Amino acid sequence: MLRFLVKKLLLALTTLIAVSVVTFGLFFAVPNNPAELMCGDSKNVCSPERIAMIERRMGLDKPIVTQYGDFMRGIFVGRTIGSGPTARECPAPCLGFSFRNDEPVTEIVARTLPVTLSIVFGAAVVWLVLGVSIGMASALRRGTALDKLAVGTSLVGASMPILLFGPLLLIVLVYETGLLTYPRYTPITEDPVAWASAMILPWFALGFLNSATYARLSRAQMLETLSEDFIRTARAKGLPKLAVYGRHALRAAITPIITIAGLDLGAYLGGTVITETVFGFTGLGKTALNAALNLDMPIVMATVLLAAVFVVTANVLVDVLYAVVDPRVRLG
Amino acid sequence: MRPRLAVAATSTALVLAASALAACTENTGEIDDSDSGGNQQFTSSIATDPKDSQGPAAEVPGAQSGGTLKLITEADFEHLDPQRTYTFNAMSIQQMFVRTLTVFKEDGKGNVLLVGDLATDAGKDVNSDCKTWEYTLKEGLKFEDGTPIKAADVAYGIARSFEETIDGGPTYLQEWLANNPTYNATYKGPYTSGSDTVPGLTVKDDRTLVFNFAEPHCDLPFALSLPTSVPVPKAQDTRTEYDRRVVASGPYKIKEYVKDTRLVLERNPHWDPNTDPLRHAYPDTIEVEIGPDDQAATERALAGQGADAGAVAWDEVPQALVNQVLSDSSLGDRVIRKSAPSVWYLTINNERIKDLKVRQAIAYAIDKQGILATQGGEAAGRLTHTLLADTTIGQTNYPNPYDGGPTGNPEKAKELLGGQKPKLVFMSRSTAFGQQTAPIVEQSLERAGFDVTVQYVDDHNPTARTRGNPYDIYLTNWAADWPSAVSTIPVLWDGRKLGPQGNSNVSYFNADDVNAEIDRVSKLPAGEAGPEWAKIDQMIMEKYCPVVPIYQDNTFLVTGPKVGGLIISEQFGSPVFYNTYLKP
Repeated sequence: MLRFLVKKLLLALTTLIAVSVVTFGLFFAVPNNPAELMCGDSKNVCSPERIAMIERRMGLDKPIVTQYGDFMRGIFVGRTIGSGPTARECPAPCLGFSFRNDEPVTEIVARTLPVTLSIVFGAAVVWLVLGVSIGMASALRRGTALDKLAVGTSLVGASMPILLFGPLLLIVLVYETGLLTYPRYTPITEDPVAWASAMILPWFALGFLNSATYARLSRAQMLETLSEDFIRTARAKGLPKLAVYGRHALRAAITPIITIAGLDLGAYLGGTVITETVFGFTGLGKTALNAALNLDMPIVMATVLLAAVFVVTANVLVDVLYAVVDPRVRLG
Repeated sequence: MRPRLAVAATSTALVLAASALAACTENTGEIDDSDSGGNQQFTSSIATDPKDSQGPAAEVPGAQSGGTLKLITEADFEHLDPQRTYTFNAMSIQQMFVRTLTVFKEDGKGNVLLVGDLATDAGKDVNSDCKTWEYTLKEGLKFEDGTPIKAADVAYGIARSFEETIDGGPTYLQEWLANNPTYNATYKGPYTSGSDTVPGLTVKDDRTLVFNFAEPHCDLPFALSLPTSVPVPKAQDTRTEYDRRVVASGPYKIKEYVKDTRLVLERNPHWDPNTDPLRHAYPDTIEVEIGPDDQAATERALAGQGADAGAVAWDEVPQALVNQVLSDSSLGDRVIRKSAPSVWYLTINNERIKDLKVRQAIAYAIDKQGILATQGGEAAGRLTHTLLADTTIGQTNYPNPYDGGPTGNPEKAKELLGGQKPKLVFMSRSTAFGQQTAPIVEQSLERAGFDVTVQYVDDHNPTARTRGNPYDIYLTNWAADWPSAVSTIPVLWDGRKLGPQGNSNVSYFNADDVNAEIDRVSKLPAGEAGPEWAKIDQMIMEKYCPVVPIYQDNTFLVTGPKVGGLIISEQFGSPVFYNTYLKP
């Protein structure tokens, strides 16, 4: 187990370093200069001297390798950005300051990550509970009206983009009927009820649409498992239905679902840009998108690295959970 | 069909003042709607009577106090620090919690008057040469903590704008004081230089500031309406952190600011309406809700459910909702449409396209209406043929010298080309705007005989600003910082300012006679200069045709049913809130 974990952690670290190098490299491969972009906002004052001044202040006048080294070092030990009376201390974990508005990137992440976490974890509960329940029930009632209804509904769900479903929910439940108010993020620490009520629509929208995939996957896995010999044996031994389906069949069928759920969670935690945009939240995804459009490199680096951390962590967790759920799997 | 009105930007009321700022320029014009249907009348002037600068502002009929005004917008302000602010939305909300030396007082009916805000008047040109200006602060001005606002606080605000870290804001004033485009080459600001004394800026006493320039700057009263002149108390200057907590001098103060989420303003008890010629403070609270996109904001304002009844969808009406909004007559004055000071040009790289006839052929051939239609048609803007926006003082809607009609005249263009088939490389943005407009530009020019190659780039600005770039034409836009042509014509068409990169004159136009005219008119008092700038506009277009003006943006937004008194600023082209109130 220990060997497995060490191996996985080393692999994760290598992946993260590779992601950081590639992101940094890609940023500078783009034929645009963020200093020009900032200067462009000031219209008539965009002189070469001014561009040079902005580059100096943002540290863009240094060699790329030095910039990369500074950025990575800052994450672990902090750093001083700029020099002289205008130098700014950036304590570890320093992700730099936004090129656009000088805000510390750690503060931006601290503000936007909880928004994304709130959306994703809540929606994940919805899609897992709804999807797996429908899938299981559908498999156990194969060929019945319930099965057909579940398959049909999941087909509709799987084929509908949130870009359409989200605004439809808003039109029906908010703009036209006023049954719900427009979602407005409140930190859970400030007001748990306001937090939950703001999340109802995004949880339902993202959860319902994703549950379709899980329903179909669960149904297929369950049907396959139910035809296995060990299930027939369990039945033949006279085990109660609940024990056959719940303890034996479900445990075997759920392994691939855990894999997909882990990867989905990891990917969504990196940002749910469409959901955030549709429901007016500024989470990690929307922040990352805006940063990419604005060539705001410190934010791009931070959000990409965070997304990579989530995906890598989710992978490791999935591998560990595999062994817990399926006794046939051994770590090593 | 709307009446076609004869144009004439008639300049009237050039009232020379004996000592002060020379005059009151008044430009009254009815805009020719021959291009797309705009029809508005406006008057711009600089107040010469100090009474215009006195408070309180006249009551808005029917207005009442109370309630929460909600402004919904998708993106947070880049900066709230006044010395770093340079976007219209940020400047318009800032007007509610900070004050500048001068300010544009507008009534929403097209009357724009530059008056003293913190200052007793719009400025005193001491020697009538636009080189020495004196400003006297009103009595009774206070910051939000009750401490008096002094001339030194205004000077300190200007001083900190020289700092390298306090960037992003306008730099007219800094450049004029330093007499150098690299304004902080010598004086680098109070943090770096250790001194609050800006060369050229003298604090005469607690209430008097004197600006001394090496060159005449007759537009100073306009430039001081920008937030560079907002007072900042030195003891409370938190440098780059000031962005989060600005000390108020206006009718509201910041109660809460959570970036990317909300900005909440509450009443500032130390604001005295008797000192303020502009602002009312009708709502108890102003709340900016940040996050919802233009679609959601517009839908919410249209639905007007609950608190959204007092909401303004601050971003423009999205294209998907344009028809719905325009066809719903029940919305009445909740739909707000007005010209913005931003003009789109098909810019021609004059260092590559040197043949005047080719440039004229482009002007005749271009399908302006087609381009505008991709952005929402009449709702998005009005076609134009002048360099200056119709919100500019003195702007004249002279006859279009290349009138190819709204969709272009390929036959006339072919005639000018005389059988040639010139090659044009068109640089277009790869954004939705670029993808939508490029085919129209390409097709209309090819119809006239040009051989057009479209090249898409992520951000055309850095390339367009680089001299010697390999492109012949590109779509660009420009919004003036104040309604004087000084912030447009010398910036975009003075060829002597051209450098290797970072150019604003992206047509790379340089003509000696135009430069000489710019020099001549720049020295005129602001009150006389307006019509003269308009003549330069006409001269440039008729004689050189360095760009093709396509359309002027419109501001188009909706409000909830309880919002009253909202006006669109001629200066910003976006809403301002000093007259806004909540209906019962």
